[in-house]
Amino acid sequence: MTNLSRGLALAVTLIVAACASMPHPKLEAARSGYARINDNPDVAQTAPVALRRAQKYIERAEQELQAGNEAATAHFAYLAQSYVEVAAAQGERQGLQEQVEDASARRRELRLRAERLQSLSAQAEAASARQRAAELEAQLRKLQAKQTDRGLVLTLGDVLFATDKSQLRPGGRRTVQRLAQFLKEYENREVLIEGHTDARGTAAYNQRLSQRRAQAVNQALMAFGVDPSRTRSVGLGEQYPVATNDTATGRQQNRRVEIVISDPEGNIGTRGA
Amino acid sequence: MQGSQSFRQSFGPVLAGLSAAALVAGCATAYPKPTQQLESTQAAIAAASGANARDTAPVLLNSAQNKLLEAQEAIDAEAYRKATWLLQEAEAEAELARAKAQTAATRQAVQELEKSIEDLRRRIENAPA
Repeated sequence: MTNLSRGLALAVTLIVAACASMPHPKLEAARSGYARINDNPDVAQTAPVALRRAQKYIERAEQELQAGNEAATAHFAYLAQSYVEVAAAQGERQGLQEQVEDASARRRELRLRAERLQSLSAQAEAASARQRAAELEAQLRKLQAKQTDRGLVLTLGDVLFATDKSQLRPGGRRTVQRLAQFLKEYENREVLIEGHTDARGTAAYNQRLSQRRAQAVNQALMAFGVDPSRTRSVGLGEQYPVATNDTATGRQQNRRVEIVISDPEGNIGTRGA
Repeated sequence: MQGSQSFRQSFGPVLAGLSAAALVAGCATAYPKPTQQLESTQAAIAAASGANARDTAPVLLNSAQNKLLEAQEAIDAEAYRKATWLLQEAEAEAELARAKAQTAATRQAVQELEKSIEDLRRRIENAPA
């Protein structure tokens, strides 16, 4: 071999060796990115095509680097890097997809639970409303209250008062006590206490007597713990008979105290309305 | 030996130049007109647009579209290597834009699910016993 050919061979070897040994930053980045995701099972499972392309382009970039083609090395390293990123994104998506499925299952279960709870609480509410209504009815039946246009009306007959007096007899006190219990339980209800008499005696006297009897009932309610703001009493005298004043029986029916119980909102229908 | 010596002396530099040219030519592949690559790049860009990459990866998608336009000019100029490379890069960018858009959409689905789970849980906790 001559000096010349030896020199030429050496130069070519040097060029190739220099290119091969000099790391290319873009290619190195693609290579290390590929190494990072290659053993990720999500990536392997969902991105085999992108992974293969990345690998193919890494190899191609290595060849170009060996051959000293800087532009081609950069080009194929760029492609390799892009497909590494595609594979990474597809792998990440697979992980997220699993979260979607897991969360969907959890949401399904929670929805069922919420619906069950809702129907349970609706049932419970309906049941307790029914129970309240039944209790109210039973209580009112015990009090012998009657449903009228003005609401529930409880009548305390003449026999429950001392003759010509406003004092409540023990039977009358028991009824008032029961009413007080009812009012304690149904806190939104209010009462209007009306005193009535028959037509015997002067109107003024009858008015006073009816007023005193109504007040007596009111005071008894307060004594049993009903807040005075919930009660009102009025004497109406002989104005509103419920029977004839011509017979003893009719007159006795007319002598009475009527207790009108409001609706749950505290409303009482007006007389004659 | 004298003749051979003079042959080497006169043709040495020419030989060296020839072998260097052969080296470069051997590594550089001949590039045909990238008809198929053009189609697959266009398909990749269309798929990325369809996956809403315009919202989630607008820079990548724009770059892919610009490279496609540039590649078409290069094809007209019969610069096939340049065109092929541009098309390859545009395809890779479009595929990356699409993958990113799909991943973002799935991530959003996870977030929405978690939020609705949180709402349900609160509703159940606050439900009357």
